[in-house]
Amino acid sequence: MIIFEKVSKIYNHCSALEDISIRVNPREFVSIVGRSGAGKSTLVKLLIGEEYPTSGHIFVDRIDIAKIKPKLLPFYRRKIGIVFQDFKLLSFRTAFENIAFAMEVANLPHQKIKDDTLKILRIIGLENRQNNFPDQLSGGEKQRVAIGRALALKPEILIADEPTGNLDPIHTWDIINLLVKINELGTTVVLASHDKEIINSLGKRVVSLDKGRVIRDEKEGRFIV
Amino acid sequence: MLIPFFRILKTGFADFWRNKWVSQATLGVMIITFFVIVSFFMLSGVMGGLIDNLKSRMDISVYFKIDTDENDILKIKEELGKLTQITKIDYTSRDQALESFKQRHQNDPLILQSLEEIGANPLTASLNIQAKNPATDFPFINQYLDKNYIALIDKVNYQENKEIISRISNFSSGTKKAGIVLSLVLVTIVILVTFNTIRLTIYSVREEIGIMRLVGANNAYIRGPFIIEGIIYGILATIISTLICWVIFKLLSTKLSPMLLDFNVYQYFTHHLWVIIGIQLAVGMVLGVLGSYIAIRRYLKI
Repeated sequence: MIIFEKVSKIYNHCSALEDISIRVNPREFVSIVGRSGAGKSTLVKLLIGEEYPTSGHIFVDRIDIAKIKPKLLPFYRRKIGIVFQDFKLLSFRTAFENIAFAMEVANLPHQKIKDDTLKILRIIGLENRQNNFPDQLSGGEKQRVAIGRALALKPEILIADEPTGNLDPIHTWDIINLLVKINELGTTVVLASHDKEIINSLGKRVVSLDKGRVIRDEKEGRFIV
Repeated sequence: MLIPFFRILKTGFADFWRNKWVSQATLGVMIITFFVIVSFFMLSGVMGGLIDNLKSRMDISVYFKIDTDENDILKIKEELGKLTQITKIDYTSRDQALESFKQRHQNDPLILQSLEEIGANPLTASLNIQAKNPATDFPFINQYLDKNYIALIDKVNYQENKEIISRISNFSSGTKKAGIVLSLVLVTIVILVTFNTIRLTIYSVREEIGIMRLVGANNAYIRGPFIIEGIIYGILATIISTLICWVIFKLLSTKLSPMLLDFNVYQYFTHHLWVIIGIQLAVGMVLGVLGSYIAIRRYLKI
């Protein structure tokens, strides 16, 4: 369960988010949409603890994440999976090692890491590319590795910030379909995107932002510009 | 506890190996730093050796009156030998002095002929004295001779050499001080250059550090591999710079020795090898470990 309660974020007298109140239920698929500058990425940054809200509260499973001390943030982040537009893979580690990294930091045993990583590589269809480095992978493959890493610790929540922003249409649909599949398996998915076509084809809940405010919240919503 | 430690160790080695270009650049700068440090260490050793050599060649000669009995001179030699300031005292008899004079002037028939015409040996017996600290000991010895044996002594050449002795002593102490200051300044500069190189290395991977934080790595897990890399830099740089110095000093030693008043650079290097390695390792650890620790701090605040 994710609850935004009257959350605002102000940067240098400029309001990025204003009085946001949203509730995301477990196993839900929610798309956060809006034009560039609407506040989507800011909302994601607040959710992952990269920024703190200027006012309001953000609860994830009843924990106010704004109150989490910086040295405890890594433990919170292990409970959520995050996928970024620019993939954010470790360039000196192979696909296998990038996925395994998420489990290594959680101090899981070696054999479990090896077994689970191979399983994830099979699920994302990159078993044959496990020893390749990010610069040897295509954009779609990189994003699949990033999703694999996000799922490594079996999080209850997966947050995807413009995951298809740097991909071509074919890979875009691959990724979106993967996210839908992940949601069907029980993971709550929060997808931030400005891709109208994708959002309108999903038929899922859509929360629309404009100039930092929620302007629409529809169960089977559409992205209306 | 052990599992994360071995993972961090493995990651540190892997990152050092995989990030070859950056690792080589940082290692190169560190090797140069160590080479400068070792060179200054050797330079101070050479300077010290040269100065000691110069000091040891400073001496005063005591010339006795022509009718002084040899036994009296030998008694004086014995008495002087008890003084703690004196490091060496040589006696030259009148006959030895004459032989030495004839050898020095063997190609000068005029002088030899003049000597023959004189008939008797005109030269006197002498004592040649060397001291630990010429600048302070020679005046003392001169005073001692003046006080106790003035009746037997014809001349002491201390007064003639006094100024040179004083200049050499001042030069040696001034050189030592200047050498220390210069060494400290230059070594500080190279250490700062190396520290900044390490900071730049970590700057170049700041994005990776941010990614690790977002994936859930804590500070220790992020910092650990960089510190391991710092240790690797320190150890490798020590080994490589020591090998380079070993080769250089071995090759140059025989050529430099005559210029340095027979000071053996290679021998000095091997004699102080463990000190040299110790200094490099200490500097390497401080630079590598502390440098990495400080440089990475600002990127752990995400």
